[in-house]
Formats: sequence, structure tokens, C-alpha cells
Amino acid sequence: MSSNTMISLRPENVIRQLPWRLGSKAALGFILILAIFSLVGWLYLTNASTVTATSYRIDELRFELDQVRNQNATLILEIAELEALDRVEARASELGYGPATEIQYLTVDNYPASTEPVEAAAQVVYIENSVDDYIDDVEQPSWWQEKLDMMAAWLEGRELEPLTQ
Amino acid sequence: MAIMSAAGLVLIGQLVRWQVLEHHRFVAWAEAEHQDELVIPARRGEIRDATGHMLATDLIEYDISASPKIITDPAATADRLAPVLDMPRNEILQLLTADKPWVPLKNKVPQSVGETILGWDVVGLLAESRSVRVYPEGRMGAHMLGFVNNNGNGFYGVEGYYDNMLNGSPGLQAGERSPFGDLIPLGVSRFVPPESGPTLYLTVDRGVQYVAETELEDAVKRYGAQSGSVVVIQPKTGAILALAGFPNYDPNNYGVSNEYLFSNPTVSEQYEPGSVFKIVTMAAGLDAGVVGHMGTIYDGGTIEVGGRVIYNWDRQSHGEVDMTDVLAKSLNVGVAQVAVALGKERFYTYLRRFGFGQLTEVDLSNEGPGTLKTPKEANWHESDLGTNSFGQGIAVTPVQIAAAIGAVANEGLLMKPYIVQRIVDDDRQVEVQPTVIRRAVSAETAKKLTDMLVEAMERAESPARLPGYRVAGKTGTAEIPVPGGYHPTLTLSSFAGYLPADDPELLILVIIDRPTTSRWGSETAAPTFKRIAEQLVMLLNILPDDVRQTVDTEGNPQLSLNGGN
Repeated sequence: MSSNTMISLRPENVIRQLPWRLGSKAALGFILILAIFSLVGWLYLTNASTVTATSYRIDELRFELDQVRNQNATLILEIAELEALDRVEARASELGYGPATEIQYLTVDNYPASTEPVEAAAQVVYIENSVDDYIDDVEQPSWWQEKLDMMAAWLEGRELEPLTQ
Repeated sequence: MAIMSAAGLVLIGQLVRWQVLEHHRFVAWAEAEHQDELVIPARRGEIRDATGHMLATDLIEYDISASPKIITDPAATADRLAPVLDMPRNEILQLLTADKPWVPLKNKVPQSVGETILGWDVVGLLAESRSVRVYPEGRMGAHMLGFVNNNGNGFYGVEGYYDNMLNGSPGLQAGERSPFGDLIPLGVSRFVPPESGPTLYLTVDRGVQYVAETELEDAVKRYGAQSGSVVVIQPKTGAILALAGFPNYDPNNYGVSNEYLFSNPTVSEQYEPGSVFKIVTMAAGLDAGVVGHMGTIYDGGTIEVGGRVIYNWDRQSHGEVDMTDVLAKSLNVGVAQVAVALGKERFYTYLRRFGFGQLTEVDLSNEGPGTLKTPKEANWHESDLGTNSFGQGIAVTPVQIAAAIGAVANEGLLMKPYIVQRIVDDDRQVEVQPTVIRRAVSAETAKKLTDMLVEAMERAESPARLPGYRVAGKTGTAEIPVPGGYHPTLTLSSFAGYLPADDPELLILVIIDRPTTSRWGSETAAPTFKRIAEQLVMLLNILPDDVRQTVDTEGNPQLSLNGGN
């Protein structure tokens, strides 16, 4: 049996004759899908790298913020140490200052100063019990006990109360 | 074939166990492998005085260590570390080349050093930060502040009482981590920021505290005493202006101090108050009407109460004396008569009203209630009525007695002592208000007693008197209880007083424990009171009586100018 089929081995013919060769529309569609996937992939990767970079940056900033806070706290502490009273007193002594030994008060008429005492601003919040309340854990004398005490005092020749006026 | 079937069954069984029965356990196990939680400690709240000056804060320090096996160039690293850590280069090199997985290089280095080393980013070099509590005023206020240990727990004083509040809430950083421990940014993560503790503003003024502490230390040394305490309060509010104890310790280095020094003597240690307590007995007698402030009694030199004979401190009879003389001469027999006239029920009711035998509920750690035996208790004896009247056989804390005498100064109202004035958080502020516990005696009684105390100090020519100011107060010289009785020579001397007597701004209690130069409160505690008071009236701008009364009568606001020479 013979065959009339001609098989060309030229490359363009080979490609043209491949069984999965697509039509031009299908190829366009395939390229479009590929481009979309590439775009989505690129967007995802870009986004992911931005998120990652931002995340690291946030961590760095947090760390920097902590450092600045700590440095601030250290500076405040240094100020407090420099203002410590024993140090201030020692420095004042070096400069020739000493405790005041005499005070002179001058009264200035109509001086616009508040005379309201400090405690006036304080507000009493509650009174737990009044003067009439008895404290529970101290036994109070009964009426009979009081009379017996008075009787005993009378028999002993002493006054129960009052001691003085 | 049977063996293969059996093996197959076992395999299927295991698969069922892993995939179905213990599914959750394995999922959790897998998550634990790559999920991590990092607790971020909160910054402990600061403590500041009434004027806003820093008394306690946190400082960051670093511990520097290394993993020698992963340091690529130990020699170069040692060269860089030596000047920064202030250590010999060879010593560092020896550590960096040690055959150990981890070596500590230096602990507690300053923040700047730690951050410099972190900035180098040398693999194998570790700088671990930690928070350290710092007290910029050093020993000043140690007893009232307390301290914080290496684990961040507060003990004693304000640190102990407000420990939970000061600690704040720790934060959390949770998420998936890489094998190197770094958080994977795209993974599921959670960040809860830490909440710092609030700042506490105390009622204590550091200037007042400084005066109290320096004068107390001076007094303890001057009188050859063992220890001492000073309490300064504002009687109208109960606000504590100073709490001093000597000897004290440095809370920055509490580890090198003896443990017994940590206890705050002003709230934790109890003592027999002695004659200062006569103020309370006299207040009760006046309030109940069993004595009048102008009335007289006969002091025969002794009185028997419950089978026990009570003598005066000088073992003398003083004849007919008025009640002010009872205070001026500090007559035990006189106040014992008052207590007997009151009767046990009324006497102990008054003691309870003044807050004895109970906690004052001051906001300081480790407060003690003192010891007060009442007739209800089995170990109470009839003679206790007599001895308690002059402050023997009863134990109080300094803050307790200061609060009680503060009630006399405050028109009979017993105030709750407090030390934190304001709590300031990021978004809120809580102002602590003065609290009246109860009325101890009437305002009239308090006024009468104040006048008697002023007069008594004049009659006794007390060294606690302060020129320009009417001072109401009382000395105390208490014997010290020892097993089987009282110490034959040693005493605890004290003075409690307030000024200006007609409008008290300050109440000062001075306690000198076991003075050796003199056993009497009038010669030790009273002069110390005066030295403290004369500085505090300047510091707090408390005007002398004549200046203040001139202003009051003329009704003019006035400016006071302080001039020293």
C-alpha cells in the first residue's frame, strides 16, 4: 500500500500542521487571559511587597517611637534628678544661700489675691455615721446596769458624774 | 495477605485518629509551630508629688549578651564593644570566643548604649531591654513610696497599695512568624497596644517631706535615738503632707538594705502613745460632760483603778488642779479620774469613735490596726481603764494617732487620711475628695480642748511653742513594753501638735524612739516639732496669727512677702 500524503519537514509547515494549533481568535483570547493573570499577579506581588515593606516600616516606627518615648522619659528623669532637693540645697549652700531666719510680712491693701482657704475647695464626700451612732463592738450599759452603778457609787460615797463642771 | 490486611487496618485506623478524632489537637499543634504571641509590657505609672515633681518613674536599661558561635568576627566586635561597654577589650574577646552557646557581657547598661549596639545590627550580639523603677529623690520618701522589684511588682507604701493600677495593661503582638521569629506581614496578625499605668499625684509636698526627713534624721542623731517618725497632715482634709521614718533606705538599691527597713513605721508599726493620748481621754471627758474645761479635781498623787495603783510621772501629789493643769503637768492621776468618771462603756466608745483599734484605711500598703482591748474581750481588765487613759496598754500607729488628734483640730470630725490626691490617665482624671469618717466629739468640745491645749503649752512653757503662732499640742513620754513589764530606762518620746490653733493648717506628730540624751518628750520630740513647724509655716506660707487676724478683721486681701536675713 502506498500513500500519497506528503509530509513536509519545513519548520513553518510543521508548526502549521500541529494538531493543537489555535486559531487567531483563540490565540488572542489566550494572550488576553495570560495578560490578565500576569497583571493580577503583578498587582498582587506589588501589593504584597508594599504591605510587607509598610509592615516592616511600621515595626521600625514603633521601635523608634518607643526609643523616643524612652529617651524622653530619661530626659525627664535627668531633670528630676537635677532638681532633687538635696542637690538643690547643696548647690544653694555653695552659692552662699542659707535658711531664712526671719520673715517680715507686709500687708498690701486691695492686692488682688485669693483669700479663699485651700480646704474650701475640698468637698466632703460622705459621713459614715453621726455623733449619735454607737460603735457596735463596745457594749453599752443597760438601764439596770446604770442604776446599779449609781447605787454602788452612792454606797462608796463617790459621785459617778460629773467629775467637774 | 492477612498481615497486609492487618497493617492496612492499623494504617486506616491511625488515619481516622489523626484526621477525624484528634483533628483539632493536630491543627492546634501545627498552628503553635508558626503562630506566636509576644506580650508587650506596659509602662508603669509615674508617681509625682503635689507640685508635680517626679518621685518615681521607669527607666529603660539594657542587658548585653552574645552568642559566640554565630559571631563571625569576634576580634572586630570586641574592638567596637570595649569603649561602649567600658570593659577591657581582651575580656570581651575572651567571652566572644568562649565555647558556649550564649554569654552575658554586661547588665544594666544605659539606654543610649543599648540602642547604639542595637543599631550596629551585628548578628549574634543581643541587647535586651528591661524596665527599671527609679526614684530621683533617692532615700527621700522611701517609706511612703515603697519600691518595685525586678519582676515589676510593687511592695510597701504607694507602690504596694496601687500596684495593680500602676502596672497598667500589657499589650499583645500575635501572628504567624517565620523560622527566624519575625512576624510575617501578610499572615493573620493582631496587635493590642499596651496601656500605661496612670500617673498618681500625691498629697505629699516634697518640700514638706524634705523638711520632715532632714529634721527627723537630725533629731535621731542629736538625741542618740534608735529611730523616729514624723507625720504631717492637713487636719481639715486628712491629706498627708509628709510621712517620714528614720532610718530609711534607698529604694533604687533596696536589695542592699536590711529587710526590716522596708516597713513603713508610720502606718505599720504600733507603739504605746503615752501622754499624747491624754488629749483623747480629755476630749471624751469634755464631750460626755463628766468634766468641764474650767473644772478642778483633786490630785492625791495616786489612784487605784481595778486594783492597780496609778501614779503621776513625778510620783507627786499636785493637790487641786484644773483640767488645763492636768494637761500642762501631764497628770496620769487626773486623766485616770476622767476615764473612771466616764465609765468603761463610754470611754471605749469614744476610743472607737476616734478610730483606735481599727484601720484608718489610708491608701498605703501594710497598714496595721493597732491594739485596743475593750471590755468585751476576755483579756481586758478593769485596770486597763486607768492605764489606757494615759496611753499605756494600748497600741496605735502614728497615722492613727495623728488622725485622731486631727479630729480635735478639725472641729471634732475624724477624717480619713489619704495620700493620693489625683489619678491621671490618658483620657481621664480622678480627683480624690476628703472623707469624713465620723464625728468623734462635738465642735464645741474640740474648740474648748484646743484652747486648753494652747494654754497648757503656755503654762508648761513648752519648747514646742512657735513665736507668732498659737500652737495646740501635747508631749508624750511612753515607757517601752518588754516581757514582764516595761523597760526601766528607755522611753518613746513624742509630741503631737497643730497650728494655727484657731484655724489649723498643719498637724505634726513627732516620735523619737529610745532617745538617750533625755528620756522626756519635752526635751526631744517637742523641740523637733518646733524646728519642723517653723520651717513649714514659711514653706506653706502660713501667716502668723497677728498678720492673719489683721487681714481677717479688715477683710482685705493681702500679699505676704517673705524676707530672710
